[in-house]
Order: sequence, then C-alpha cells, then structure tokens
Amino acid sequence: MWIYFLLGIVTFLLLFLLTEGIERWEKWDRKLP
Amino acid sequence: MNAFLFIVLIVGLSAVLSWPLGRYLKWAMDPELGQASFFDRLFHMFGGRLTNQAQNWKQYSLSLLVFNLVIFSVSFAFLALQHHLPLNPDGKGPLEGSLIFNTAASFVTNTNLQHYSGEAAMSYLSQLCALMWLQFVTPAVGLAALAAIARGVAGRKEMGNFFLDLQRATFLVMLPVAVIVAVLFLIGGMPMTLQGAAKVMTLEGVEQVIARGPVAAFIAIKQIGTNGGGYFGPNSTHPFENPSFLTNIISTVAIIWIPMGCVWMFGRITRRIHHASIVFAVMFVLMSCRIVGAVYYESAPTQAFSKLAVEQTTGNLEGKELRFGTAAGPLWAVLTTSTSNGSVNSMHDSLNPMTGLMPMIGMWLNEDFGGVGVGFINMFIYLILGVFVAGMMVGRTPEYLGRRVESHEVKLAVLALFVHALFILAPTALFAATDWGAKTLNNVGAHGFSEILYEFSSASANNGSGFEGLGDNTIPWNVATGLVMLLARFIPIIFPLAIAGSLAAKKPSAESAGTLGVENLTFGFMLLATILFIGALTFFPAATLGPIAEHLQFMG
Repeated sequence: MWIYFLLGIVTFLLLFLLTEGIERWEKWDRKLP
Repeated sequence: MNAFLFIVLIVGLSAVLSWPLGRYLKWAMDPELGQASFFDRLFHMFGGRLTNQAQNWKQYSLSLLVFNLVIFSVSFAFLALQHHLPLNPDGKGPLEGSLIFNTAASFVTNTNLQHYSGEAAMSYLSQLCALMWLQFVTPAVGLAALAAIARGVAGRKEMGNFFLDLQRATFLVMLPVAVIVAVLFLIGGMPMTLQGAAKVMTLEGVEQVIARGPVAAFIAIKQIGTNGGGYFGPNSTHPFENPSFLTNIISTVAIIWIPMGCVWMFGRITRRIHHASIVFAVMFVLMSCRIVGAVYYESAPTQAFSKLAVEQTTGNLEGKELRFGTAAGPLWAVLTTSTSNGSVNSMHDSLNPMTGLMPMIGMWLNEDFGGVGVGFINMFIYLILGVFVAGMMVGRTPEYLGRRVESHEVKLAVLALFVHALFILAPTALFAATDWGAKTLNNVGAHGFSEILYEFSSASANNGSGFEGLGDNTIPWNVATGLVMLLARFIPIIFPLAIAGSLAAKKPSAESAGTLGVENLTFGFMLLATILFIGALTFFPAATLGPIAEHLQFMG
C-alpha cells in the first residue's frame, strides 16, 4: 500500500522541480543574470 | 416543464446571480486596504508567520504545492487506516492500495473521480475527514490561484500570500455558501444523520439495509465547489442525493454559480470589467452551443428502442431519472462538464453518441466556465494565445491589459495547453491498444473507445464524471488516472502563475491606436476562434474514432 503513497510523493517532487525549472528557464530564456 | 423554459431559467438565473457573487468574491479575496481587516486579522492569527509575507509567483506556487502535498498525505492516511479509526458503525474494511492512491489524488485535485461506491466502501470518518473537508479546501486552492494571477495581471509585483488567500476562500466563500445550500437541500428532503444504515422490513418480509448519513452537508459542497464526488455510488440520480425537482434546480444552479462569479472577480481585481464581460460572453456562447446540441441530440430515442413499438416522442429516456424528464439529463451533463464538477443526474454512457460528445468537448476545452478558479485560469491560457495570434494577424503589438506578451509567455501557454491534450490522448491510445483498457470494457468498437477517451478526459480536466460501462477499479486504471489527475491539476496552475508573474514584472505600456483592444466584440470573436481552432485541431481525430463513428454507424 505504501508504495502508492511514495508514488504520490514522487509526483509532487516532480512538480516542485518543474517550478524551480521554470524560473531557471525564464532567466536563461531572457538572458537574465 | 417546457424544456426550453427550464434551460433558460437555470442558465439565466445562474448568470444573473453571478454578478453580485463576483462583487462578493472580490471583497472576500482581494479586500481594499482597510476593508475586511477583521477577517484578515483573524486569518493572520490562525496562519501565523505563514501568512505574513507577500509572495512572488514562485513562492506562491511552492506554497500551493506544499499545502497540497500535506493534504494528500493526510487524506491517504485516513483512507488507509479507516478500519482502525472511529465513526465506522457499519464496520467498513480496509481499501486496496491503488484505490487509496486514486481516491486521495482524486479529491486533492478537486476531481472526485470515484472508482469505488461511497456507501459500500467508506466509513463515516473517511467520508467526512478524508473526502468532505477536501471538497472545501481544493476549490479554495483554485480560487486563491486565480486571485493571485489576477493581481499579477493587474501589475502588482507581489501576488498575495497563498495561505492567507486559502483561508479567505475557505472561510469567506466556500463555507458560508455551502451552509446556505445545505439548508436548502435539507428543506428539499435530503438526509443528514450520523446514525448507521437503516434496516427495514419490506412488504415481502425481507430485511433491507438502506444506506444514509450526513448527505445534505456533503452534497452542498459537492456542487458549489465543482467537486462532484457523490455520497452514494449513483451520485445525483440517487433519491437521497437529489430527492426532488426543486433540489435538481438548486443543484444545477449551484454547479455553475461560483465559476461564473470567478469571471467577474477577475474583472474587478484587474479593474477591467468590460474585458471580463467579453470573456464571460465567449464562455456563455460556448456553453450554450453545447447545451443546445446535447438537448437536440437527446430528443431522439435511443437506437435500441428505434424499431420497438413504444412511444418515440419523449426522447432518449435510457439512463434517465424519469422524475426529472429528458432535458434535465443533457443539461446537467453539459453544465457538470463545463465546470469540472463531474456529478451526474443521468448515466452518461446511455446518452446518444452525439450527446455524449458534448460533455467530452466541455472537458477538452475545460474553460467555459471551468472549475472554481481554475476555469478562468484555463481561459487565461487561451487569452494569452488569442492576444498573440490576433496581434500577429493585424500587425499590432501583442499586449494583454497593458503589458507586452512576448515569446516567453506564449511558450508557457502552449506548454500548458499541450500538457492537457497529452494527458488525454496518450493514455487513451495506450489503454485502447492494450489489455489494461480493452479487458475492462463492457462495450466494443467506437463506444468502447469513447469510454476510455471519456475517462482520461475526465481525469485530465479534473472533472470526475464517468461514462461508466468501464471496470475501472483495477491497478492500471487507478495508477494511470491518479497520476494524470495530479499532473493535469497542478501544471496548468503553475504555468499561468509563472505567466502572470512574468507580466507583472514588465513595465506597463500606455494604450495607443496601435494597441490591440481586448474589450470589444472583435477580440471576443478572435478569442472564440482561437479556442475552437485549437480544440478542433487537437481533439477532432479522437472524436471521429469515438462518438462520431458511433453516430455514423447508427445512421447506417
């Protein structure tokens, strides 16, 4: 059962990484420092 | 009642009532300095340090994700341990792991897709503490995100505080409106009790167990929060969940009311009420076209009855509650899929093929009027694209409410749209081609394909309604739809927050003759065309394999 709980946690971790990635991409896209 | 009058009454009443609601939503979610200070002081007291700091888009998004991770964990724990916990008078047993994951993901994402039957599987504690409280806070999350985006679009550098907005949405919007609607439902005859199931002796001398519980409270927030998860398995076709024609009217208005009010809230926060009027009109036209289509196609009898010597003038009564008539089913089907509500008062699997297409279109477009808060957020993505395309076509600077729309915002908007389509079409193809889907179908051919397509459309749109005819409580279905619900809920919130943050950081440009206007009918038509072209290009091939193919087969 708890393997499914971990699946949910990993999905949220991916979403955290996506949020971080968007900010880094924005800086790279706009050539910001 | 005449079907036309019934529809005009429901939709018209909702639209009229949404105007004062929009004013209230603005007051609650974005008070002017000095207004609502009593409530904000209370919320600061409850929230402590979490509510003190104004946040940019990234901080707001991370707070939103952290909160949802916590509620996912709490909900999962309640469901996993229900057989050890109190308020379980009927001795409900443990649930299977993948079903717990699916249910927790479903209720955390405001989807409320149910691969279980509530009265058979859930204890009262699970219904109240794992499921019902999420029906209050998850629409509040959507409303909070919309308020933040509106502030960003209005040019404010800081987009508010998520934890403060969440409390405003929960305690000033969801809770009071739910209490009022619950009282109306109680008057309409819904049960509200914590006693166990009633045992009665039938006239044949057999004992019958009748499930009941805190139904009125559950159903009120189910409808106003665009949740849709039923207390009972048959949802709003069950006589305790929708006892009369009066409760059917109240439910139908409650489904669409807050999503409509969100449009006016956006207009008031950005101080562009004319722009909001144009967007409201576009949403209204899209929804009305689908209502007309659904009622028209459902006025024909079901194919199975067409050669029988039975009354053929009453339309398709298969899968309908006869006490509500033929028109109430397709109207509800369109409204519930327009708004990511997902409750049903008729069986969507029994709709005529082209009627069944109308709810699917609602979930594919997912913006007229959409879920609480998130419906307008989805429309915001189309607005960015519409402004960009219109600007390119007429050679004017693409601007949205005084801020230039550049390639970065357009890339984010396209990605957000792409994610929604990807999460519908890719798993549909996978399940249609493998035993994961094929062996769970009760129908073959085009109708079977429609069942798979509908299920993933419902999961990705965070709608929660089911075409059914599908044995979907299996590990592949539970895991796949659970993942789709989680990703398709939060990615289309995070990207628009990033777009709003990006717009907020730009210098406002003065409007001139070269500025593309977004407060006139021309822009309304442009927005409508953008939505229709993108929607058709993305989903028409899938529609031809499902409901359209089935319709053509019936025509011979």
